Amino acid sequence: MPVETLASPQTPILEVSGICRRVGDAVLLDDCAFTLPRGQTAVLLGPSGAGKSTLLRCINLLAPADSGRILFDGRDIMAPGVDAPGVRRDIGMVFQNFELFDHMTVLENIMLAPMRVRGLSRNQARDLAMAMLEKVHLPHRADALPSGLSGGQQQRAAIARALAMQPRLMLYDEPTSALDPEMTGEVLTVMSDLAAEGMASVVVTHEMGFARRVADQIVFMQAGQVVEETPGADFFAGRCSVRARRFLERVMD
Amino acid sequence: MIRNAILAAISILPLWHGAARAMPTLATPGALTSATAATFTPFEFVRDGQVTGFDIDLAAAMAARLHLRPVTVNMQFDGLIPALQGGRVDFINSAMYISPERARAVDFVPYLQVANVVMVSAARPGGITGNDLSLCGRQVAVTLGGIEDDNARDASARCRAAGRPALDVLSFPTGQDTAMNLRAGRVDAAFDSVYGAVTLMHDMPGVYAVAGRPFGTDAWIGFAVRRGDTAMRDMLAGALHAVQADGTFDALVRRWDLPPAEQVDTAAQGQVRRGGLWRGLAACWGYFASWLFFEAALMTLLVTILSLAAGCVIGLGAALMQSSRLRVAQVVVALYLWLFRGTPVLLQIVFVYNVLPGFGLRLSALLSAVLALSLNEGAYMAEIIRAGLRAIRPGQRTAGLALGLTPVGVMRHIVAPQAFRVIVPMLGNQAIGMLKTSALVSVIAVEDLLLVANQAASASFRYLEALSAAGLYYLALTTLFMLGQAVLERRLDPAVRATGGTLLARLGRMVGSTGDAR
Ligand SMILES: Nc1ncnc2c1ncn2[C@@H]1O[C@H](COP(=O)(O)OP(=O)(O)OP(=O)(O)O)[C@@H](O)[C@H]1O
Ligand SMILES: [Mg+2]
Repeated sequence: MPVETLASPQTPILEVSGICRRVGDAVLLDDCAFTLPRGQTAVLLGPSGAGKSTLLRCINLLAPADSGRILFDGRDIMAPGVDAPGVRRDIGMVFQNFELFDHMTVLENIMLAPMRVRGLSRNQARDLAMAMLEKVHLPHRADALPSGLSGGQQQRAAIARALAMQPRLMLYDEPTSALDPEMTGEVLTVMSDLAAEGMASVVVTHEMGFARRVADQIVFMQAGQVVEETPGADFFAGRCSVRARRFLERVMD
Repeated sequence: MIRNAILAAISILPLWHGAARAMPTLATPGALTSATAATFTPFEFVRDGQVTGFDIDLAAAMAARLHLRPVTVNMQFDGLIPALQGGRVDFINSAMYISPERARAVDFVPYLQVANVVMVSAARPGGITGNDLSLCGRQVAVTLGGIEDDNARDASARCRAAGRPALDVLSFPTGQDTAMNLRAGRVDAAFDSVYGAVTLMHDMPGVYAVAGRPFGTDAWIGFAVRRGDTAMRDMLAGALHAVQADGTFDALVRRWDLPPAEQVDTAAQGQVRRGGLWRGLAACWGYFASWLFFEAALMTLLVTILSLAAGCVIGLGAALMQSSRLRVAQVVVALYLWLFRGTPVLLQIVFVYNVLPGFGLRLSALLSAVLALSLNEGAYMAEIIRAGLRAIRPGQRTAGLALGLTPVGVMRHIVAPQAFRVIVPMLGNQAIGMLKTSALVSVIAVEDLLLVANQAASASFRYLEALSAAGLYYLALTTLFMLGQAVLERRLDPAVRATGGTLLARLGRMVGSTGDAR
C-alpha cells in the first residue's frame, strides 16, 4: 500500500478547508470546509448552482482549487508535486449521466482501469470485474453494451467500475437525477449497502429520503459557500440554520 | 487550362543559379540528366516499359562523348520546363520546337530541322488541299505552344490578306490530342510535324492523310537548357558537334528513319488494321495484365498509402496542436491549414519537386510526391480528426480521468477509439480521393498509372484500351479501399466484436463474433 497511509484510525478520510475557486470574475467556491470521518457518508445539499459539483471535482483534482487545503486520508493532495492520477485512482466517482464508455462492454468498462492503471492481468481484472458486478447485482449483463442497459443498470455498472479500483472514498454527483423514479431505488440500495459496509462517501443528491437514511452528516451549500455542516439526525430534526430549513421545506414539498 | 497556368507560373519563378562557369553544374554528379515526355514517336516513346527513340539514343551518344552516364527522367510534357528550372535535370530532351515563346524561358541547342504538314481525315478531306487558302475559316488543331501555333498564325494572316476569314484554331496539350481530335472529326485539319504525320499514318492506316506538301523547313527542334546557362549550352553543343562530325548522328537518323522532308513519302499507306470489339478487349486485357501496368498500379497504391499514412500523422499532430491551449501552436496550425487548403494540390506537388531544390532540399520524385500529398492530406485530416475528437462527450474524458488514467491513457483507451469509429467513413472518403489525386504526381515523373497509361496509349494510339486498363486498376483499388472500410467499420462496431482487448488486438480478430448479449 502507498507510503502516504500513515493515517491513524482517528484521522478523517477527508478534511477540506478554505477551498476557493474562481473562474474569471465568478466565485464558484468561497472558503469551503468540511470533514468526513472514516467510514461515514456526507450528503451535500443545496440549491442548483450552489457549487456542489464544483466542490466534488475539486476533491479529486478534476477542477483546480485556487487556494485551501484538502487532506485525503491525512495526505495533503493539493501540495505541489502531487500526482493527480495517482490520487484519483483511490477516489471513485459516479456521474449523473453514468459516463460508461460506449465502445466497450460492461465488463470491459470495469476491467479497463484495473488493467491500465493498477497493472492487473486480464484474468485478474476479469475476476475482479465479475466480483464487482455481483456486488451491484449485474453479473448477467457483463457482456452487454452500455446502450443495451436500462438507466438504473448503467448507473450500477458505473458504480461497479469505480469500485473495481478499490477506492478509499466514493464521490457521487446526483447519481439518480437522470433516472426514472422506478429505477432510483435499485441504485440507492446499492449505495446504502456500500455505506453500510463502511465505504466513505460524499453524495450530492436531491433524494431526501435517502439522505435522511444514510447521511452521517449533511453539508449544506449555498452560493459557493458551505453554510453549515450538521449531523444528519440533527439536520432532519430541524436543528439547522434558517436558510437550510427554508431549502428543506422547499424540496420536501 | 488551370493546370497549364499553374505550371507556367511555377516555371517563371525566379531561381538563382551561379553565374556561368566553364564547367556546368550537373543535376547529378557523373550523369547527364535530361527530362523527356515520352509521347512522341519516333523521337521519344515507351517500348516494353523502356523509354527509347532517336532523342534518347542521341543523348546517350553525347553523354558517352562527355564521359557521363546518360539518365532520362520521363514525365508529362507540362512538367518539363519546371523540372529544368528547378535544377532537377540538366536539359530537356523532348524534340522541343524552338518557338519565340519558349526561347524567352529557356536557351536552345538546335539539332534537327523539322518540316510540318497539314493533316486531314483520310475519309473526309473536306476540300482541304494543303497549307493554303483552303484552310480559311476552317477548324484547325494545333499543339499548344508548339511550332504549329506559328503555322496557324501565318496561315490566318494569309487568309486575311486574301480577304478570307481566319482559321478557327483549337489548341491541344499534345500532338496525340491533336490527332485524336482530328480522328474524332472535331476539327477539319491539324498541323503536325512531318515525322508525327508519318508515324500516325503508319500506326493507324487509313485514318489520316496529308494534304499538300511539307512546308516550313526552317523549323528546328532543340535541347533546352536553363536560360543563361551558357556552360551547359556550350557543353551540349560541343558534344552534339562531335557526334555529328563522326557520323553517329547520321547513323541515328537512318536507324530511326528520319529522312529529310523532301524525301518523306507522305502518301504512304499501310494495311488497314481491323479494330473490332474483341481486339479492343484483348488489347485492354493485355495492358491490364502487363507487368508495366501492374507496377504502375503498385506505384499508385504506394503513393496513396504512404501519403495517407503520413497525412494521418500530420493531421493528428495538427488537430492536437489546434486543441491545445498554446496560442503559437494554434496560429501555426491555422497558417498551415490556410496554405494547404487554399492552394491547388498540383501546385504543391510541382513546388516541392521543382522549387525546394533551389533552397537546398532535394528530394526524389517519389518523396516529393508523398511529401506534397501528405502535407495536403494532413490539412484535411486535421479537420476530420478534430471533428472526431469533438464528437466525444467531455464526460467520457472526465470519467477516464476520475478512474486514475493519465491524460495520455484517456486519449489512447477512451477518446481515440471512439473518435476513430466516428471518422472511419470520412477516412474512407479521403483514401478513395487520394487514390485519384495521386494521378497528379505523373507531372513530376513518378511512374504512376496515369503516366504509364498515357504513354502506352501515345505509343500505340490505343487510347481507349490503355486508359480503360488504367481505369480498371483504379476501380479495383477503389473497391479494395471500400471493402477495407466496410471490414474496419464492422470490426469497430462494439455490437459486433467480442469482449476485451486493445483496439489493435480487436482489429486483428476475425469478424463475425458477437459480444452483445441482447
Ligand atoms: N468551468 C466553469 N466556468 C465558469 N462557471 C462555472 C464553471 N463550472 C461551473 N460554473 C458555474 O458555477 C456555479 C456552480 O456550479 P456547480 O455545477 O458546481 O453547481 P451545483 O451546485 O452542482 O448545481 P446543480 O445542482 O445545478 O448541479 C454555476 O453557476 C455554474 O454555472
Ligand atoms: Mg451539479
